[in-house]
Amino acid sequence: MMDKVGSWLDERTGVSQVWQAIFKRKIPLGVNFLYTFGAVAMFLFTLQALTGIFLAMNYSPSPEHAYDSVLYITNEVAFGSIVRGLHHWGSSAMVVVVVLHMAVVFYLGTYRYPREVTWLTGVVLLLLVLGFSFTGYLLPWDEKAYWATAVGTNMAGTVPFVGGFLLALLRGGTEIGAVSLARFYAFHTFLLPALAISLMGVHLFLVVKHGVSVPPWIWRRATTGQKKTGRR
Amino acid sequence: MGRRAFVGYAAAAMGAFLGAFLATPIVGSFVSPALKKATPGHWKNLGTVGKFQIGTPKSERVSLIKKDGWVTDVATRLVWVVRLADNDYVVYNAQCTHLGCLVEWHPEDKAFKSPCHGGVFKMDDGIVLAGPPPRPLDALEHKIEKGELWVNYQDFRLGVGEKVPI
Ligand code: HEM
Ligand code: FES
Repeated sequence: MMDKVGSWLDERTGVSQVWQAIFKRKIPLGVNFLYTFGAVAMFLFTLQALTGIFLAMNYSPSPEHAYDSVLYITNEVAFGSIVRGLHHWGSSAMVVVVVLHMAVVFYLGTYRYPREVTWLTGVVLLLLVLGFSFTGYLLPWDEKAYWATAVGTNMAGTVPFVGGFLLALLRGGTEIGAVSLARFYAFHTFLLPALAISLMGVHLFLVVKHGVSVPPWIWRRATTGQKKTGRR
Repeated sequence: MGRRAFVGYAAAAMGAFLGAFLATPIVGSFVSPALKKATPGHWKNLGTVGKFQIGTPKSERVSLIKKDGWVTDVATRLVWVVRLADNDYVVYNAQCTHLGCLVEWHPEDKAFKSPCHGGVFKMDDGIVLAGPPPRPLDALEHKIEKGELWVNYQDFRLGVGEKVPI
């Protein structure tokens, strides 16, 4: 029965090829845990998206209600503090893991030909991850959120020539207030996710297209004809 | 089972475990409002009995302090007070038991009518005379103290045969 449904679908969509390309692709010899950080970043992104969606079901992006709604999530919603905690710690873990992933790519030199575009999309993804952190930090609308955003937006204000414009653009005015909160919320929950998901699609497409890079220790062995080193 | 298949199953099992572990709080936070117990009624003063005339229903507003998530605010509800005799009152929750439109008094027919789908209720016992409502109007608990009428305001689930407090 399942087989029949499966082959019916496959004949019309070719899903099995997609499945094959993603999960049955060849991986070079000698790949180790250093190559898992990208996948960890993706797992964390998914977790952030899920916990974020469920936080949004009890959150109100208005100056009158934001703080109270966050207190409500923390103190009254069943498992609310856990969902909020997952999102809170997940955001920090995301930054750590993405930086680790970038460091691995950098030190192993796998950003080189033909993977430069993978790297470039990665650079934008890093900026987007930081954008999530910056915009999300304002949403609880407590003192820390307010002052962190005051400092952060003032930094944008120091940019030569366009600083004042940037500052007003981010804040939606001269002050941090209702418009700023609505903007940060829209960035955090609509704009950045849309950009990040699209770019992750490109990033992953390129990873699949090029295949995972051959680790330098295997590469060295292959080019010098050297026999097994300590690793494999 | 070969090594490859074993590792595949092990990975799937770990994935399922982790998924369930994370899904519990996430889904739980969403579902929890649906599992809350009914809130108890609110006793409200409707004023001196003198203003209610026998045989002429009078509507009264009831203001409740309601906790609505992170907002605590005043919610206004409507009741119909029917004085049947000197010392005999019925107080109805004005919500039509079909789907909640507020019923209106029609003196020409001596009946309460819902403006929405033709529900008609008898004045003295709230029984359904016509239309889709599945049960009589919801009579509320009430008492008279020092010449004043009090009602224990309560909402009930609508559209069902039984009177279930919510
Ligand atoms: C949202 C953040 C990111 C996600 C979800 C993500 C995801 C992934 C995944 C799943 C892989 C394949 C497995 C691996 O090699 O680890 C990968 C590979 C790669 N990523 Fe990322 N990545 C992110 C950010 C970045 C950043 C910040 C950079 C660098 C600026 C980067 C550059 C690369 C490169 C060059 C590869 C190919 C590595 C190879 O084939 O060995 N990525 N990414
Ligand atoms: S709501 Fe009263 S008849 Fe439908």
